[in-house]
Amino acid sequence: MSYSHFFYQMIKRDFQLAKTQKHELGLPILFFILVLILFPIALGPEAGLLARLAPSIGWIAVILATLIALPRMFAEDYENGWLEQLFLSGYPGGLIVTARVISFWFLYCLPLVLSSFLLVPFFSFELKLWWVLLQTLLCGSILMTCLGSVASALLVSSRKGSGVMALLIVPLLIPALIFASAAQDAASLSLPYTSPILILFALAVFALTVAPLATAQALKLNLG
Amino acid sequence: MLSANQLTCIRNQRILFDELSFELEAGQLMYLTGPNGAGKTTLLRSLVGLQHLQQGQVLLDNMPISDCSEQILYIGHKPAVNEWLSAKQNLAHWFELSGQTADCEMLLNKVGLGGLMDLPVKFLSAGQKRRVALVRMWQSNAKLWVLDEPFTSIDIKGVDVLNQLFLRHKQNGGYVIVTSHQTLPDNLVDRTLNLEYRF
Amino acid sequence: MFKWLHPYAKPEKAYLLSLSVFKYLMPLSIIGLFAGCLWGLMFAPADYQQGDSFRIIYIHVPTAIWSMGVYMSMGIAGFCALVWQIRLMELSVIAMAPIGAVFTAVALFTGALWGKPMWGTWWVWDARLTSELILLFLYLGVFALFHSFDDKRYGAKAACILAVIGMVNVPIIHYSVEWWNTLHQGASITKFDKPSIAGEMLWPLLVNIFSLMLFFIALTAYRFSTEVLRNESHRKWVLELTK
Repeated sequence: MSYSHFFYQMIKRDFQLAKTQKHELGLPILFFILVLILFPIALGPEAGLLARLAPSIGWIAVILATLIALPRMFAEDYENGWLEQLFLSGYPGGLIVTARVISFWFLYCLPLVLSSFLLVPFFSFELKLWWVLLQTLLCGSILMTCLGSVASALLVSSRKGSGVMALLIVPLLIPALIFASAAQDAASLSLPYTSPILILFALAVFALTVAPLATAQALKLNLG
Repeated sequence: MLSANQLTCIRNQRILFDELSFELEAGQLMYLTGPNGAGKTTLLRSLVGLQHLQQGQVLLDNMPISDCSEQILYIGHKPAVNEWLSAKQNLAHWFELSGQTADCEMLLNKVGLGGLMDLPVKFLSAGQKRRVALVRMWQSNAKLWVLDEPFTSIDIKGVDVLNQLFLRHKQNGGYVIVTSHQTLPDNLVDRTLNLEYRF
Repeated sequence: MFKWLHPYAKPEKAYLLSLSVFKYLMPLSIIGLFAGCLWGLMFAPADYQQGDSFRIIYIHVPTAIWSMGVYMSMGIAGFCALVWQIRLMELSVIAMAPIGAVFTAVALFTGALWGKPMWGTWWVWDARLTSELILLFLYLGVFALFHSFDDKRYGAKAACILAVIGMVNVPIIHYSVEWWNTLHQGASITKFDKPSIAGEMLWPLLVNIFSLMLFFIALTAYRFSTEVLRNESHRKWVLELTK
């Protein structure tokens, strides 16, 4: 089987599985919305303040919701033994991981990123600024998935769950948050904001190149 | 010829086996025995290259085992069967992975899962799940079969079928390495390797 | 060089070497630290602007410098461990992690102490403080990852992978935080003009920086030797040693 066909099959399997467990896909989004609701209640319903904080709140909520979803990335296939069969099959580990990263991003991160649209009605967030937020979140969520795949692979055989996961991912995500908020600040002042977004994109591409190799290493390590 | 040279494995600061060597000719079956915790599963995993070894190497026809991935059929404790997918889907993915074309429905009918093939596997009994995992042996091009407790939750009739499969594979010049707590018929076993529990 | 280094890849040799490193460097580093602190705290002249409170520099700066230095050496050791599959290197990563974390914590704590009289507040979101704080979490991550595995061997390997990823990320974090800081704060209170430090103040600082490095090496050697012993506890040479 050629690599591209194998890649296609892996992604097809992930989507097939997702179809059987739709409720699992909804949970991170529900969590995301809950976090969003907490902020106006804690801060008070003042529209100006909420609109100003909206992009940062959106980012934080996406990070938290992704953290909820991440442990599931490899857990099931590790437990039922499919993962060891994949690594026995002789296909490069990086390819296996990249397929999983991509399907995870489509299944979990993309819906989250799109549901950030809720900020517009809830936080009286300007549509024009949401468009910028969408771009930063798109790049940022790729970065998150890549870093998350490494952390999730490292922790797949240990029973210590999401606490350690957060400790591994959040410090590494800080640059992304900084560039995202820089873009947002620039956009809110009607200044050009492409350069931070491009840097963010560069970080995402860099992570997408390097992370699968590290993830494959980590998975091999956990298999024995 | 399958040869294992000087395998040494240490896990959790405990030596499981130390400088273990053996050779297996084509058409031979090796029966691996030993008490719980002696390292049978670890040995099987290191034979197929899943377990990192401190020392030693495994050669299949003078090739390192890591280069012969399509020659290996490994069925471990974990069945590589996804509970949420149906038996048919699981098999289809399996054959895609090993690069084979097979008639999944015919195979599932053969192992007595005829009416259940579209049900998610989690609704099947333990023995039926095990059968889904073992179907791969019917349609395998691999030379080396490494099976970890294949008889678990399989009924007597199933055990007979498995034994026949082993025999057929041996006659075709394959290698079989099996662990089991059930004894295998004498005419099948060519070699026995006993692992001791070591402290 | 590899030919010369190779015998030390044997656990027994490495154990003996690290013990002797510890034996010689530990007293030396303690003498150095003691002398540097005494010199700095008692005899160096007080700063004309900051008075005596500047003297915390003799603890703050060395720990801050080596908090980053330790992470760098940890990352390099982890990289070597992964690439050349040297197990002893993995152990050295584990040996370094807590030491670096303590250095970072001390640097943060003394920084806060220094900040109170200077800036009037314990904490500001200054670029250097922030990246130091993130560094602390990176250390804790390595350590927590190591301890979340029952088999220490896997834990050590996993920690190596994380250390390498962290090493790649440290410059990104550092520069992004600096950029963030200039964006948000503009000319901040921390950017007071630093008068170039006078010679009498500088020398004890250099002594302390150097001795802290020796201290780090000695401690690492000690922790490393215990890790080697624990890892090799089933081997003959360890059993003979402990008889």
